[in-house]
Amino acid sequence: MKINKSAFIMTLYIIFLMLPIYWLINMSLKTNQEILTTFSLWPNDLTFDNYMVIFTDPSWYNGYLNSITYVVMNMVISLSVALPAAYAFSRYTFMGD
Amino acid sequence: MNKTHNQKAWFMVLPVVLLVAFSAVIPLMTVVNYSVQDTFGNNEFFWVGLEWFEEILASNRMHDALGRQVIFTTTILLIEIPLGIFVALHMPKKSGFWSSICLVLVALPLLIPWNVVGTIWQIFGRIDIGLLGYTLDQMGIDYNYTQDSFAAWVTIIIMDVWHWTSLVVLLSYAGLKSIPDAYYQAAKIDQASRLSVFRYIELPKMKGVLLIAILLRFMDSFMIYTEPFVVTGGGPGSATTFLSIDLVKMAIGQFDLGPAAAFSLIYFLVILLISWVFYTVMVHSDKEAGL
Amino acid sequence: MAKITLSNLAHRYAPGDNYALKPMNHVWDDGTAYALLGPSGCGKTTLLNIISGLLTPSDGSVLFNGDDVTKKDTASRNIAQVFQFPVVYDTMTVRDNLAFPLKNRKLDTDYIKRRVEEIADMTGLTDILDKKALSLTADVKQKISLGRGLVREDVNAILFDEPLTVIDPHMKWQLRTELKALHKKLGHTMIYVTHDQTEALTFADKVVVMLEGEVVQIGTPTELFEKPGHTFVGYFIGSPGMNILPVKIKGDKAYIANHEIALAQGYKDMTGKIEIGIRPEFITLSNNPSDLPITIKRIEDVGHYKIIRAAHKDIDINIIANEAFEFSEDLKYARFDKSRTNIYADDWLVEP
Repeated sequence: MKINKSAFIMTLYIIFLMLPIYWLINMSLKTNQEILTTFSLWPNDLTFDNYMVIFTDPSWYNGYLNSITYVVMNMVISLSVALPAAYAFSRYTFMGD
Repeated sequence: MNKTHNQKAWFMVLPVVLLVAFSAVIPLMTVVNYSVQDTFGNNEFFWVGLEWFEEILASNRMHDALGRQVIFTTTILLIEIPLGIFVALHMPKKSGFWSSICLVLVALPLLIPWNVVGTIWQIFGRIDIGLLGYTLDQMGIDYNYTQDSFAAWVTIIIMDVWHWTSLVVLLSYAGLKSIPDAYYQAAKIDQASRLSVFRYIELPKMKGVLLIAILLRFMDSFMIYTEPFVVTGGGPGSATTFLSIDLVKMAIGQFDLGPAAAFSLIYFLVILLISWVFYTVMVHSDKEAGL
Repeated sequence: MAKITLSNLAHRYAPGDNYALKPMNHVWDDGTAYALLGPSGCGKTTLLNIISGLLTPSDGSVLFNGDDVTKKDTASRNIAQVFQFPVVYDTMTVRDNLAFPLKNRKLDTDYIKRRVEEIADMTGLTDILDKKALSLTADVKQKISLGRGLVREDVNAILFDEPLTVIDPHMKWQLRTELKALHKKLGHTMIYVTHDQTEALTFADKVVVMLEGEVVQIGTPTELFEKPGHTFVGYFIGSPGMNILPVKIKGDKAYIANHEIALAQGYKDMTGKIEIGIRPEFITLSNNPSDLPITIKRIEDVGHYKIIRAAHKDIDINIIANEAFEFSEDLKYARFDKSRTNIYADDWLVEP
């Protein structure tokens, strides 16, 4: 069996990158109690409760709303202010450019 | 392109100027203001000239933080750049399913918000609920990043390597991909060894991209704040208190606005200086190359 | 030096694809300078890469002096290849560039030094031997590429893949001359791929014309000019190319829409697309009504000759006349030199 050296190294690297993420997903599917009491590589008691909470509990989803508001406002202001300036700089010469 | 001379264009530029002035220039001036004043409290300030600067530059605390920062930045650059190049050399070259998967997965750590990265690793390193901590504990290694400064350092360095090596990988990969096939074919005909191919073809052609990668990583690591703060809070003690963490402690923790302001300015100037050096080297070597 | 044989060689990139190179049997003689001529995409670079070993053919084999090298890699075939754009090791000096192939083969340092200087002398690089390769102009870099190929004494053949593409026009001629001189001096087998007929015709002893993966004709430049074996060769070579007109053949007469043209020999009856080909150099204008009637659209004065753009009904005919040619109103007919007229069936030359 011919082992492709490149593929092997890439796989190792990707495993290294995915480990913390896998652990995060693992924890997200366990209940709080299970996390604190047992140590397991996959959830013994698969639960989507955590996901339900972040989507229904106001203290969580307000975060999303704030983020989206912030990003949209940022984009709108940046674009509307930068585009005219960019146009001016590229098309015209004026004092102090 | 022929640009027409038009003074009225100033109006188009005005919004940006105002915005930048308001959000950047004025705060900067405020900082400069604070850096040359002291207060007895109650918002009364008096002029002290360069006293804060002198004090900061002489302070042991600042020297310690600077020392830690330099060690940190050097270490991660020494790990991330060679590792990044190494992985980039092994990235799949043909476009296909495996290539797309690799690119997506490699880029994933770069997309995670920085404080989440800190949180992930904080949990990951815990002996009771973290995979890393638990495994090390089971292997008999005494690992506790909240109490042992060496463990704290290792955790933070590995976290940074995990987070940012992919940036070096992607940049190097882009540089490598732009090398035309004919160079590899000619090297084959010349019977060049793999090492020669790397040394004489790949490395020179990646030079521009590598300089950008080094510059970006240097600047980012010199300013690093959220990730180590979330994981260790600067501890144990002040073992992992890097420059920016120290600065925030001073400014917000102790409310020493004067020294903090002076510190910020020095910090800013140091980064500016080193970036300028990098930039000059880049432009100079570019000039040498393409004429 | 080597004689290269292609035996039943064909190539397609994946099973089930069309053949990029149709099956061919061909021998490249030792010491001859060949040009591989053809339009873009006809398979010339594919063929070159198969000969050099950068590509393994899907069918057939390649033999060097009788040894099957099809499975052997590039280095062991001992060929040199000069690419379309200059490939030099930028960080090394010219001297190190030229010495690189020899150093990799772990040869003696004195020998390497002597050899590098010899080659530098031959290619005119002696003055700049110790300069860094990075900042040199494109034509000098191509010379370095060439020198790197020549520096190995036992090189079997030198392959060129459109090497003058990036060179400035006024340097092209000079480099071509130098290449030809090197060939005369060293006598290597050289295979030169190009889509420029001037380069091909001036450089090569023999020209191989390719079209859509097939070798259409092999011959000396004169043969290609006078007796093109395929309408494509007629059209591609010469400026302007051969005139091709559809005809019907009966014995030794050709008919273009009922107009009779005498032929040098008689032909058997043929089926398929029958065409008559004649070069602009071999048509003269006449005022004899029994010749082919044409209308003259334009006369272009190119300097030492004139090109007459004419047409018969809606088929373009180009005629070349010498510079002393005087136009007059009654010259409304074209006469073909029947000893230079060729007949083509389905694009291939028909012998009478």
